[in-house]
Amino acid sequence: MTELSAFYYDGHSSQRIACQIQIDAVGTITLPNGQRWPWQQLHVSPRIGNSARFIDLPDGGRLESQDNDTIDLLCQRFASSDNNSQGWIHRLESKLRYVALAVVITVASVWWFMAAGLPVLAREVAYQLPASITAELGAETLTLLEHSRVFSDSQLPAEEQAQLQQMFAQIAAQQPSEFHYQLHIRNAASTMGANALALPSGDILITDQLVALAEHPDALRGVFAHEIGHVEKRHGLRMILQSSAYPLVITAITGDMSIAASVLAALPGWLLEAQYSRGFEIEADQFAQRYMQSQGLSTQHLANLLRQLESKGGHETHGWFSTHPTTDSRIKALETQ
Amino acid sequence: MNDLPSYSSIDTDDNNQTHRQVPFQFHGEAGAFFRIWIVNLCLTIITLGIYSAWAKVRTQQYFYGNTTLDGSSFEYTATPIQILKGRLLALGLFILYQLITALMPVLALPLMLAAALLLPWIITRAMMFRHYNTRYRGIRFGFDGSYLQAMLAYVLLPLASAFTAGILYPYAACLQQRWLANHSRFGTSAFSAALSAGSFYAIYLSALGLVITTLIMFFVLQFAVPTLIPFMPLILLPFYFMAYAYVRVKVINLTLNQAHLSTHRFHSTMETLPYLWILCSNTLAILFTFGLAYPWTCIRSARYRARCTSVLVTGDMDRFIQQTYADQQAFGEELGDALDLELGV
Repeated sequence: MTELSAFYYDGHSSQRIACQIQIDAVGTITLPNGQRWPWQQLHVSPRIGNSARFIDLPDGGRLESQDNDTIDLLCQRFASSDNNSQGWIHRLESKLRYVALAVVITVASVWWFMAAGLPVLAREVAYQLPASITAELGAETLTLLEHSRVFSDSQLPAEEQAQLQQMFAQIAAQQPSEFHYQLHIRNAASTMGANALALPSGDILITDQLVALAEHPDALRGVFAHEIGHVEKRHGLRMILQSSAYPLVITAITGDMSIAASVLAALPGWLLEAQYSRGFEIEADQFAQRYMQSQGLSTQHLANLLRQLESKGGHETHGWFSTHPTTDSRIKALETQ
Repeated sequence: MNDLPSYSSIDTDDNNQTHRQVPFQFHGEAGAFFRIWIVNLCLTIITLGIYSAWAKVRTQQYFYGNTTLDGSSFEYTATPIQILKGRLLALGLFILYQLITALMPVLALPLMLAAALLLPWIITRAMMFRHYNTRYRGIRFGFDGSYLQAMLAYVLLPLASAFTAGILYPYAACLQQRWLANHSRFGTSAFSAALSAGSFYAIYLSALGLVITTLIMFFVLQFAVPTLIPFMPLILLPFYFMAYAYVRVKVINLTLNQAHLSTHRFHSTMETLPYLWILCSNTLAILFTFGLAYPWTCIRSARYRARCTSVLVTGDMDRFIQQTYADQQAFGEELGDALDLELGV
């Protein structure tokens, strides 16, 4: 004979009767009103921590009990397929080693997804989308940049500018894709200094200061090929896709979209972006290297330019250069052909 | 369970009614919920999201089951299969929406119109599902708000307020709370709350004062200490949180303190600053633990909510009668979740 302390509700009214329920050796329970039911016919709510359990009686009545251990014992002894189907989950939750395992699996898979899965996913999606979408992305950024005071008109002589344009057009013409490439030469003496950047639309900006730093035209060819590589590999769109997935991942983890979660979403996004952009730089370098090799040109000059940029340091370490964090390894990669 | 009062007497003399204040209590613990949460998360990942329906039900059951009023626990009765069906439908609709807007941008406007027509239906269905699947003392809650009223409170008035510089917004919020409170039922008994538009205007005007003060401070700081400009969002964020916390706390208190159920009344004593502290510290805790503190933040929020809420019981709570309804589908609930609807109090 087992006893279970519970509240009894008849299912029709909210009247509550506290009672001791008797369960005999074959699992028949006896209620205070004399009703008798076999345990196998009851529906028992799954055990969740130590929260109250609810037992459905076949006539619509209900029992509520905090006595989880006794209920588990009864379910075990008089088990039916229905009334303890989620018991194994509770066993996972109550054993420390399974909980530890769950932490490891969860952290590892979230980390793997953010570091490896998401970039692949973003790349696949980016290549599926028509080039017109990325073109729109770039057009707005270009207008914004033109209106900002970061850049002013180039101070280079018109002749040199024309040479650069010709050099650029040569490389751009050899790309099989439908991007509309355009080179913008700008002065940024007092702002970002020696720098170059690519917009997803195919608009590529290079500063007078970077042109001045280059000791050989092949260094600039390398820079152009690198920036065109960013466009060809759709890095702008991929970055947007990857970063915008981050709040979704947070939501999936925490299971809610509260105000806190949306604030959180913005902050570590910066850390991730740095991580992602490192991968993009390496990809653009490889693109440039392949191009230079196909033309029989050396990447040594590009490597030299990178080294000069690094040694300049100072206030010019942001922009083009700072998103290229592993400069040493990049220089090495460019020098080994 | 032995320390609880026993309720064996059925009849109470109506002329001899007793009054007492019965607090809500929350018994959940961070450690226990962490285990549930991490196992949920792990199984959800392993099953590529399918288990999330079971995870949701277990989480809800943990929080409901650990919330007691006068010794009896609340109960969440939705089944994982219902939730799964609702989630799949919501996901399908979401993908459809994304595809249509991506491939046929011309349809974006008609689609938004359709969404506006659908929203009140989603909200109504979500409330019905949530209430139907909540039980206390074996009696189900219920909801009977109508589509048209939801349309007015959640779509038409907010739209109108957007065109009137927000003047109508507190009125919209008032109608929303009225709609939610006055159409909720416990068994056959209806909740009622006499909510005046004036009190909502008072709340929102005070919040507006807070926002204006913040903006003035922002401009003054910008000129006085230009070096602080990059940190402005960090300085302003707590004030934004504060306006949010203030409105939420005041609306909850107002609604609950006006609410009646049969002979019983509700009492809510939430305060802005403690609530704000919970919001901010929760955010920081989640941030610095890469999300692992999330279960702890849920538990302390629930504990605070319970601690501030009580029922002023007149007579006894034995006489509510069950109402029979058809089973509810989870579609509205899951769409509501997807849209991040903060419903009810």
